Amino acid sequence: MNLETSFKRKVSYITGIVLLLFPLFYLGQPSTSDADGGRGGKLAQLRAENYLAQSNLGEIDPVSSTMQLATFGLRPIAVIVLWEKATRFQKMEDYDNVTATVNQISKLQPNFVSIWKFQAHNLAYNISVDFDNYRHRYQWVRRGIDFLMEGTQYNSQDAKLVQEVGAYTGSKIGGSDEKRQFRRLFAEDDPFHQRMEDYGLEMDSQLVAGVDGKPDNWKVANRWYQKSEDVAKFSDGGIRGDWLRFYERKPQALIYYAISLEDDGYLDTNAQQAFATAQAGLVELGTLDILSTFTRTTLRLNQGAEFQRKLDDMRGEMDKLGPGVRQAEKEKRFNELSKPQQEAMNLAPELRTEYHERMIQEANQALFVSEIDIANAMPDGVKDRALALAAEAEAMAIKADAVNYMRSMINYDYWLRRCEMEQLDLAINARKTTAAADELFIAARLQPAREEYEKAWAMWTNIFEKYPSMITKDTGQNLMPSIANYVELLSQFDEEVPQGFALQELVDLAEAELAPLPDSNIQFPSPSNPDRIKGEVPKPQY
Amino acid sequence: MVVDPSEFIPFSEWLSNAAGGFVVLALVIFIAWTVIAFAFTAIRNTPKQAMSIVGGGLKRAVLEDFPRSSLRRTIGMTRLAVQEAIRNKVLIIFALFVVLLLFAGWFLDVQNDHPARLYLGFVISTSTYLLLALAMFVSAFSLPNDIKNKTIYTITTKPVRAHEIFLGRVLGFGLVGTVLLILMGLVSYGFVIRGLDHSHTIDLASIEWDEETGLGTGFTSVDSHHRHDFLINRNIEGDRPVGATEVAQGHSHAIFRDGDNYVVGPPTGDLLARVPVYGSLRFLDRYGRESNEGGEGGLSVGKEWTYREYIEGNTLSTAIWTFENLTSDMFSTGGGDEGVVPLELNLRVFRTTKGDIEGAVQGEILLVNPEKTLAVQDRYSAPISFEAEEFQTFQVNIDYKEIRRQNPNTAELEKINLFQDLVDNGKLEVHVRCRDHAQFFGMAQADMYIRAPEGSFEMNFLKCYLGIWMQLVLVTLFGVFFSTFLNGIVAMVATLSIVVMGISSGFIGEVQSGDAPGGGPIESLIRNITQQGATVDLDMGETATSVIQSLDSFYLDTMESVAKLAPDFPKFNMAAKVAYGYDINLDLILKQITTTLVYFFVLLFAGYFVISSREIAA
Repeated sequence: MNLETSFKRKVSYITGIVLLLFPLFYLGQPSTSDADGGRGGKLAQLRAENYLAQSNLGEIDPVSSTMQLATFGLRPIAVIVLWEKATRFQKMEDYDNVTATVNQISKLQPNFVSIWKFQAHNLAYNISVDFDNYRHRYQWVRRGIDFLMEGTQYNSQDAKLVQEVGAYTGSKIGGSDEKRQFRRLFAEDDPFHQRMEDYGLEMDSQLVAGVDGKPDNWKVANRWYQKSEDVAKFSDGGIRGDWLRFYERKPQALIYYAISLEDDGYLDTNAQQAFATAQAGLVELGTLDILSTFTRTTLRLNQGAEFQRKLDDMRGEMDKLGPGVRQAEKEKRFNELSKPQQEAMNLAPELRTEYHERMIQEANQALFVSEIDIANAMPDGVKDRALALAAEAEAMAIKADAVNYMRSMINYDYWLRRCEMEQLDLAINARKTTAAADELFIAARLQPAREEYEKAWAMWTNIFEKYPSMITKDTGQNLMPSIANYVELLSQFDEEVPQGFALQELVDLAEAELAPLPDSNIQFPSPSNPDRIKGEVPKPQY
Repeated sequence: MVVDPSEFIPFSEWLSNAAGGFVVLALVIFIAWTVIAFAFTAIRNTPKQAMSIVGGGLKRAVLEDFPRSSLRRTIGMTRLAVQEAIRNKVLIIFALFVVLLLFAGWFLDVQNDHPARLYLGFVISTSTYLLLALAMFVSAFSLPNDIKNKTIYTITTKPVRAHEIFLGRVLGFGLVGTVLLILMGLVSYGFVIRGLDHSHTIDLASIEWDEETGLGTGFTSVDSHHRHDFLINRNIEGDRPVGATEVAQGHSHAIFRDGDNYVVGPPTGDLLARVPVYGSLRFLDRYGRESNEGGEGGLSVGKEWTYREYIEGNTLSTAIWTFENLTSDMFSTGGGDEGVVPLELNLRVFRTTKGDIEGAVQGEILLVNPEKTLAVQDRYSAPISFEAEEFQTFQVNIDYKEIRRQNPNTAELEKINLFQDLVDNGKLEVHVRCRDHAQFFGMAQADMYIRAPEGSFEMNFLKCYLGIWMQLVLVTLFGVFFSTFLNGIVAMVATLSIVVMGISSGFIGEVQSGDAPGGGPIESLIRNITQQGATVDLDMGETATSVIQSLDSFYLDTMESVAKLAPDFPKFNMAAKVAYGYDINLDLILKQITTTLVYFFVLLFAGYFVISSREIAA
């Protein structure tokens, strides 16, 4: 090797390095905070576009960063080992080490949201139930929520994660079998309230205070949902996923708060006020612009009536353009049906078999006449105008359908009516009377209990006459323990439920709901099982 | 705490069982050396000459080298090894350890329910890993470096025997490791004590007093990420505690009066050394049948981990512990009639119905005379009830006065004498039953024991570090042994393999027996690539599957055989005992010392033969 060869080689190396610097610069230039929009290289731009830049994600923790660096690029392997360890510890019921390991994983992958969600669920839902003492179970639920709250610090732009904190605070504490105990423990848990305060929730606000002035889990959940909406509003990512499911949570928490008050025995103005607040929440939900998965445009839940009215007006206008065309088109379609389809359509409902139902389904599809079809059938002079109107009407129909679909998705109309109904003095009195009757029955004071029950059924009948939409399986199941008490009470008098029992429809609905378990010896609450445990398996007879 | 069933075997019994294994180990290494030495010598000479050389070597070892060992020369070699280790800056390991401790607060879960367990586990495992790594590096590279640098000439030209070279290295590196271990132990102890030390205050205004009884309840301040509920009695006078806190984060505090204020004492109960006296466990099924009478034994409630078995509530399903060698002075607290049987339980509860959410599941204990020839009414004490607490040890102290029996004639409960009426030749059965219908208790042998007087935590900590020291010696032995015939990096990898196989021998056995799903290395690699779950049958066709499994089986058989030769390192790791507050008993230490000694002598002899058969000078 002579000097010239060596020199040439060095020059080619340097040239190569310089040439490679250009693509490196193009790809790797970091973004800056310059006013001219220092967007950085391609990688920085991609990170920003996909909300993956550290500054997009949340707090930067030096511990976490140090741990990531300390793994020398072996972070994925370290994480796999830790996951395996956490699973093994959990299998061997070594829960101290599970939490320690999970914390390490979260430090290594702080911006991997699934870690926070999965492990928080693991702590609050899986590990907690392994403990026999409800106080221990509460501690694990609390730990799960705490873990999620920590996750929100690292992923402050993730509205869904913030929402999860609300969901756990609401549903896990207020919806478990131990909800009575959990809600009580939560209300008294000052250190945990302080933790929530540390994570930015105002815990001394009236907005979170229950009837006794202490924080109520459902109202706290409501505040977390509000926080998640704020994050969605101001973050880069917005709401990823179903908007309706995202926004329904906040008023829902208020509804469950009101229901919980009634369960806790606050059958007074406190409950009425809570339902009024919940109703206001639902009304507010109706005013929000929500992205419909149906139309891919934003719609409001309270626009349903307006869309329907406009649609009816357009249809009326079309009918004026071609009187009788709609009816003629429908008859034409009917005549085109096959003979079995026509026969099925003409058959009385009680005589229809599964075959007939299928025929009717097919016939209904064939009978559908769109506005465009009607416009096409119009006389030539008005056809153009009719086609324009039909296109508008079709678009309006889609919107109306979308709003109806959204309302039905979250049972919006039911809950609105329920909130309205529960504010009536009559409803409060009906619940009070039912509860009093239950107490008398459990105290074995049968005659007064019977009188109270019958008074209560009269009140409920009155309510259901005003609010027939309240006759649902939910309401049915809600009243079933008391109805079951009444049935048992009547049996003490050697009587059966009288024919034409006012709440028979509710009983049928509730029984239909429980029908999948005909042989499971499901017992309704009774004096021997006063804790109102539905689905309690009775003692086998040895 | 989970206790390996092998720990219940007494040392004497273990020794008689293990002796065979040790002989096999010695024979395998001796035969392997003889065959290899013979083969290598035979290549260069005739087989007859090879036999004579190998035989000569053996004769020289037995008649000359070992009987004429010199302590002075060995100490000299040890000094050299120590100097070499210090030259290699091994003390940097200690500095690294200190740095790790300084930053431990960053990655340790300070809000954990049992910080003592976490801190102890951390310091012990960190000390172990760092020291074993150090031992591996220092021991594996020493001799090969000497040979490479030709500094070995300065030794081999002196009248030093081969085993003295080997012994000197092991002792020298062992000594350096020991000094490091002592330093790490002291720092660790300080770290744990300091990390757990904390205090709380009580806000007088927040105490809720019961005016009738003078009892006060409330919460302490939040310190070290927790607070305690407490109960105090203002009627108690003097210097003794006026109350105590509930247990939180594995400890509680006594509360004292200080003028008008109440002062919370230091934490207690987190650094313990309980001394358990274990019994043997068997089960009766729900009809009261023993396993040998067709009973089903303990039940499975469907948990994946089968360490514990369950008994069904409100049936005759019973867990029976049999304790032996009991004497009255173990429990007597005064005269013959006064005493307490201190039982400690750590049960699991499995509910099939919610039952009473706020109430604990009820259980009962019966003390039973194991002598079955007695009438039933003479064998059983009246049941003593308890409430099960899960995931924490709870005590059932049975006062002698509580031990009663129902008189079959009068139906009255009569007081009986534990040692006269129930203990038979030092044997006593303790029956545990669950009272609540459709609820279950889960237990393993170590989940109930009689608690002997408390041991010293510091002593226990020391014993745990003795276990680490023995691991250090074993790794050094293997490192030096491999370095006698392999070059540095290969010797280190070989030592690492031995450590990994020793640690993973249980896992290798599980994979080989099929208990761990997913198959051997080839099968699991294919499953990974083709994304087939570990529990489904391999979708490769019958022939291919059987070929893969045969290859895996051969590989795993070989691995398992080699792993059996490696020391069982997990048995030396006693961190869990210290962390959970259980005394490390003498039998366990004796088993480890015996194992270490056996490896020491086997590897010393093997090392000697290898060094003496190498033509170093060449």
